[in-house]
Amino acid sequence: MSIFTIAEASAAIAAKKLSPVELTQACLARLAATENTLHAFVLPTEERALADAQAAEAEIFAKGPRGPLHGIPVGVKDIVDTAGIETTCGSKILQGNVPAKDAACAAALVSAGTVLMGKLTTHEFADGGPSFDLPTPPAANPWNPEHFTAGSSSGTGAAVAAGVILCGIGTDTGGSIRGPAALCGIAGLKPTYGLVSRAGVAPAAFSLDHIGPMAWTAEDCAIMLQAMAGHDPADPASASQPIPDYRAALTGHLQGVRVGVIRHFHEVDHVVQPAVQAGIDHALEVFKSLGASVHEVTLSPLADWQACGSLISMTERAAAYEEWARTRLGDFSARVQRRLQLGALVSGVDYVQAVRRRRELRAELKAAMAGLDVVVTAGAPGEAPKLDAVPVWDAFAKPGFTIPFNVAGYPAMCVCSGFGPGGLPVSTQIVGKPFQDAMVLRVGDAFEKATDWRKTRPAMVS
Amino acid sequence: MTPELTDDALDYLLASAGLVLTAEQKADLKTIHADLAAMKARVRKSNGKPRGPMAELAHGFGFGPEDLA
Repeated sequence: MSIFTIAEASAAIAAKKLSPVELTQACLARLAATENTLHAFVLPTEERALADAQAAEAEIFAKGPRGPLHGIPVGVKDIVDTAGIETTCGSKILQGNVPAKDAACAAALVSAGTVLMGKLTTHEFADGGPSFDLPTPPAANPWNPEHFTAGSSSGTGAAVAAGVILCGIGTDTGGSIRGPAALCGIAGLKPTYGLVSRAGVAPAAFSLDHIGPMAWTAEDCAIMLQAMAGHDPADPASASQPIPDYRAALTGHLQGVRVGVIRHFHEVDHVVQPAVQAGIDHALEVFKSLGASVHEVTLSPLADWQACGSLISMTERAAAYEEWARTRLGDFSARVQRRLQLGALVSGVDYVQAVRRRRELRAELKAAMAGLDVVVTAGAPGEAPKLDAVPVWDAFAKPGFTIPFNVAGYPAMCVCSGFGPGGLPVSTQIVGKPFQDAMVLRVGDAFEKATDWRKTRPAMVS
Repeated sequence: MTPELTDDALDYLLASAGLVLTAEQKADLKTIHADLAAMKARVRKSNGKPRGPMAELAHGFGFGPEDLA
């Protein structure tokens, strides 16, 4: 069976041309064929998947589908609570932890009638990585398994790219949805802060944490976001905003859309590989051909955004895991131990100055985006590095392209915009205004449908 | 200029945080001190003047009817 997108599979299921059970069996076969190489799952749930698929098939046969996710195989990052299924956050510390209830985002997928394929590999507590001193190995990149997936939603990126699942839940504190989306060649949306409930998801840094969809296409992300978005009083940061029809916003054209390009981020502040530059330049031409206008945008240097986000992240993370850091530091991976140690070196005054700088940076982005609909820059600096080439103090390497939009809380998505000389994907990042996630999805979807990048899957599953 | 992080200062900070590190871990942590100091400098104003009130987060208590009862 070929690999379906959610849009394709849901249409075929609704037309009774595709059985959810057969679709799930095909995904399970792909899982069996790839998992020894990819390590995308910390816990596959084959029996649950087949039971979900059979239930979906029976219900769809009797009453029709609940919606486009009914009968669709999905995965859930292992920092997201799942009722009755071990949730370890990829850590020795939580081995044997079985939550009593689903996280809000996982419950939303259950309500939509999805088929749970399993818990997906994550960097430990969504931090650090790749680590080889955890209960399970790091996920490998399906385009070349010697290479990194990025993280921390590493298993989600790998499993979606390999077609083992049609979509999965990711989380993003500094780029943990968009990084794996970029390096694995899929679409990943970090929604506006507060749009998707964090209830039942292990914290990383509370003011930077986002939950969002990862899938092969922007359209599939729109379908998934529709199920996940909405107010939840169980999350103190949950926004109360009307939820639009995200898929209906995907018009296929960009007539009148105003696109800004933060050129200095990827051409000066952190110079990207030529393939990434070519991908962004090509994307801008495609946007124009679809009716958009392109404008230049200047912001504070990328390193300012990185410093602000990193100091906030180090402090909030150290606060979240203070007790275990004091009593069980040696039970964390070496990479996470390093991250937690950093909290001791950041003072209360440092944190407050970072929070105040954050307010200035947000005001700057708001002013720069006045009159624009989206801005674009790189999603990652190049193709995925080898798994053993990621520096241990990577937080202090060159500044990342994703963390500015965690600092700002603005919606941002990475889409595949080509391939580098190593045959690995490169990406472009599209950023919208708060709660205009639909516009981000519209631009990403129009780009994908105007180009051929979505037609190529990794060789290991082609 | 980056202020020096002496062994005594590092020991104090780690003890304050309740962290117990090996000598090797402490040496590793000290290698990023200059990078961390550079980050801290970036979130401060370069002109030496204090920030205004618009750089403060609004603090709202969110009092509800139950607070007035």
